[in-house]
Amino acid sequence: MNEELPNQVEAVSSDHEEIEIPEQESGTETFAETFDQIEEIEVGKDEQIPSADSAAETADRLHATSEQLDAAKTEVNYAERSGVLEGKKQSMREKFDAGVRRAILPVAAAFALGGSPAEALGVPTMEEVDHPEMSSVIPDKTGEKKELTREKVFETNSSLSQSSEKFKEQPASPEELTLLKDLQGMAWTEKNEWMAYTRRDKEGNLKTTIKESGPTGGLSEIENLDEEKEKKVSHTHPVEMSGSAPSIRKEVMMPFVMPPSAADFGTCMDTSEIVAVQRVVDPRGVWEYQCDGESPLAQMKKKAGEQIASDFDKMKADYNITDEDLKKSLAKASNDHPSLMFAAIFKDLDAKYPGVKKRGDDIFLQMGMTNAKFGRTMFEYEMAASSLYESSSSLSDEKLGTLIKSFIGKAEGLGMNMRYTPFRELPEKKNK
Amino acid sequence: MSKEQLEEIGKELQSVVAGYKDEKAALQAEENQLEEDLILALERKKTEDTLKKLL
Repeated sequence: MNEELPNQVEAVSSDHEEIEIPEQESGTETFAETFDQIEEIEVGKDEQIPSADSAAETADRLHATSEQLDAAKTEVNYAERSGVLEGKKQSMREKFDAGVRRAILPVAAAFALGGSPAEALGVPTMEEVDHPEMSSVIPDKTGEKKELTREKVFETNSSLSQSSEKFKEQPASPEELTLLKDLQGMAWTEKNEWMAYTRRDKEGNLKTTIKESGPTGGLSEIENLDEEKEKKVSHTHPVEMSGSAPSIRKEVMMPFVMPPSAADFGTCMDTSEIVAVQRVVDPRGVWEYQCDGESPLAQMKKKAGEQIASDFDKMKADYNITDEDLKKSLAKASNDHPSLMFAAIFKDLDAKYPGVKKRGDDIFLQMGMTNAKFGRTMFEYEMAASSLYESSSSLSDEKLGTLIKSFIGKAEGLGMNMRYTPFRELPEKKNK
Repeated sequence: MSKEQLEEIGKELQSVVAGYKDEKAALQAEENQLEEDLILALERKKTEDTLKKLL
């Protein structure tokens, strides 16, 4: 385990079970217990097997002499048997460590890389990758849109409306409010996520571009906006992202929410200095969030990201992997979740570059070994986010508001300051 | 990640912990057996030494 892990991260990751989970989520509670057991084993708090070298104590207890002990040891082949036992103990522990790290690794990788495997793999440009292009430009000035206010769009007095005290208000213009309403509708109707980049150009004009987002992420686009100001990045969490989406969509609109994912969290930290606010628009409301790029977790993320990027560079050089082949493999894996993309890319490359899959697995394992606590923390964040979403559709606004508040508090402990505000109106088509 | 993916990871972790516990219990039994064998051997040796002294 990483001993450099700050106490605040430890505290947050260890108390996520405080999020109250309904009956149907009992499996999640079991996972929390599993984490506790893992923690105990890893720090050696679980009941220890007595040392095999307790023979002297046994002899003492039986008032035997050292000569008698030596003779008894020889008779039962003690040295060899205890040696085998020690070897088995070590092997058991190594197997346990490897199993835990391997299971958590995908989430750790996705988080460490901000959900953008393309960048970690050193793909120089995204243009040729199968990646949706910008689909439209929203005009920034229309009379009707200017009449919108935050109070008209959002139900700010709702019990669902919760905020971290550290969240810094970023006023939204009427154009942005229109955009958020549009994105809300898209969260219901579109299969994939959509991303919107809002910024003010050198002339002071507000511009927003939207595009359908693939799993390769939007970090490159955000970084390319360095000449402009007041950058805000919004993306949808569509109802289609949920396995239960079809049943939800057939019913009357329910107050379910989909908070930022661990990968969103990673992107937020990476862009904390260049983006004023990030937003996730779920079907019910808007999550606004800002990250502390200097937080202990952000520093750990940076370290993990640098490590894995360096290892990938070496792998590319050792196997002479071309950027073209890398792009092809990336494109094939583009429909996978970021956390699963790496395995798919390595597997695809292995056909042309034998050994890449094993090398990739080794890189991940090494990353897991040096960043296990980090991965676990993010896994628990993702679990908490998922539990909040899954339980939200069956709860009253008051109860759900309490859960949102708890979730926001935990995120704040990790260095992400959030605000959630529900929309005042729900899409008409779904509200029948 | 989807709930299904998270559950899959969670189940894998549970499986790792369960495997560890099973293996640990087996090793514990093996360790206990070794100590038991040693105790028996020691007692036999002590008895032999006592008998030698008496004879």
